[in-house]
Amino acid sequence: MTGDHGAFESLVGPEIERLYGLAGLLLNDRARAEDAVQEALLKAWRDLPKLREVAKFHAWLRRLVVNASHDEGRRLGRRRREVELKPSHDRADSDGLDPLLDRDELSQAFRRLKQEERTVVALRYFMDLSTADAAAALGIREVTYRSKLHRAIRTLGAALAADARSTARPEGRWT
Amino acid sequence: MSTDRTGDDFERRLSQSLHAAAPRPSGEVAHRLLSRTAAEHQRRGFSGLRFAPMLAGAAVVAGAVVLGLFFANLLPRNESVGPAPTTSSASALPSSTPAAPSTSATETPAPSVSPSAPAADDVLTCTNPEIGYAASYPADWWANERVEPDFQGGDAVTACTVFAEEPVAIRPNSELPRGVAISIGVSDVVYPPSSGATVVSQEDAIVAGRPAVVREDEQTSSEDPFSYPGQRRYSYFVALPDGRYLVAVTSSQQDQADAVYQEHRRVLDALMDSLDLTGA
Repeated sequence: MTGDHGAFESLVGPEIERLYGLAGLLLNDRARAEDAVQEALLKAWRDLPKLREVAKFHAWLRRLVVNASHDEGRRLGRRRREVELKPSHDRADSDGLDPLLDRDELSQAFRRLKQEERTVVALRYFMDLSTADAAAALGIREVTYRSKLHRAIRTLGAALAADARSTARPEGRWT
Repeated sequence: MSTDRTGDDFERRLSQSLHAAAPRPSGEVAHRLLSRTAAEHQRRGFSGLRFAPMLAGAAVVAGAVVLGLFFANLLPRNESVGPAPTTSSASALPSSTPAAPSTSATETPAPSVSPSAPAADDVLTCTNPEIGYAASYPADWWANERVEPDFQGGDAVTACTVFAEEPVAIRPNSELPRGVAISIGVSDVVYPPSSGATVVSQEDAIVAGRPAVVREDEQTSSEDPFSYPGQRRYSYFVALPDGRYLVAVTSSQQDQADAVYQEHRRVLDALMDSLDLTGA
């Protein structure tokens, strides 16, 4: 078993940084990113004997991380809704959000996308995956992925344009 | 900032921005992530020898990266977020730890991965000639054949309308039995949530080239005798060319773990992604 786990570590080790980064982008929360990657790695380790085509290991692992991140996101969403029911509660403190993405306008606009939109964008522009690999990570067809990516980029562009307009017209400027 | 989102420059800046924003695991985190798997029981049958060809190229890189992360105390790329908190201290919710397999997130069948299109042995496709659709479902799931009515004038259960992880007995003119994960039918309208249920999420979508509504609702009271408080339903309403709606639904069950519901949700998503309405 030890030797086999060593093989597993050798396969997974080089990918951990990218997978953790992907989960962080999708969840915007380091602790939850770690939870998601941990869940994915545990499942990968447990179910590895069921993987019929070893050449698809990395694609499978990416898909596990995406799915685990979405699961974490749904749990986080439920938690947020619960918190919002308590007006006196400090949401920023309670849900453990990290301002990971407040680096520039692009990343701020990215953060405002829905989780599914963040996923399709991150798979292409952070993981640098081809359309085929990104579609496989989501378990959807390539044509569906292209469509989702197109919509996500359009939404991102609209958010950026809105930001640009609000920046260009400060209150009282035209009076 | 330019909002031109069509050019290479936008794509390059987006890529740079995401790479800069993505968190990096500290060496401690990377080590923890891997070491926890070592304590986890594995299904029988794995041999590292299967991965020998891949390992030949990965071994050197893996050793360098893992040991480098662990011993070099690599700083997070985004310094503004500070040191990475531990899972237990930073998360208010239960963490996914090796000691808690029951909190396992949505299951993903290992063999279903395909880099481009689903492999033939990963999914099966069924057709419903009455409504005019075809849909793909996991190969280890079960979908119904047509069930003829058991009395004159009764309704048949048309094919490809009931999906389950294990075969179930479908009887015409009867309620669906336990064990059914996803059901498909036709409605004249996008019907509202059940009495006593609230909408958790609802969004417009395009499914099989047709307008659709995807909704999740949750039962918040016991007004509906067929539901229980807390029950969730995840539904697609896909507009058919004849003005009706194809309705595909999965629901959580009181005696099932949430992970089962989440798995069924994802299968429903995939099923709708594969939906072909050219016969409708």
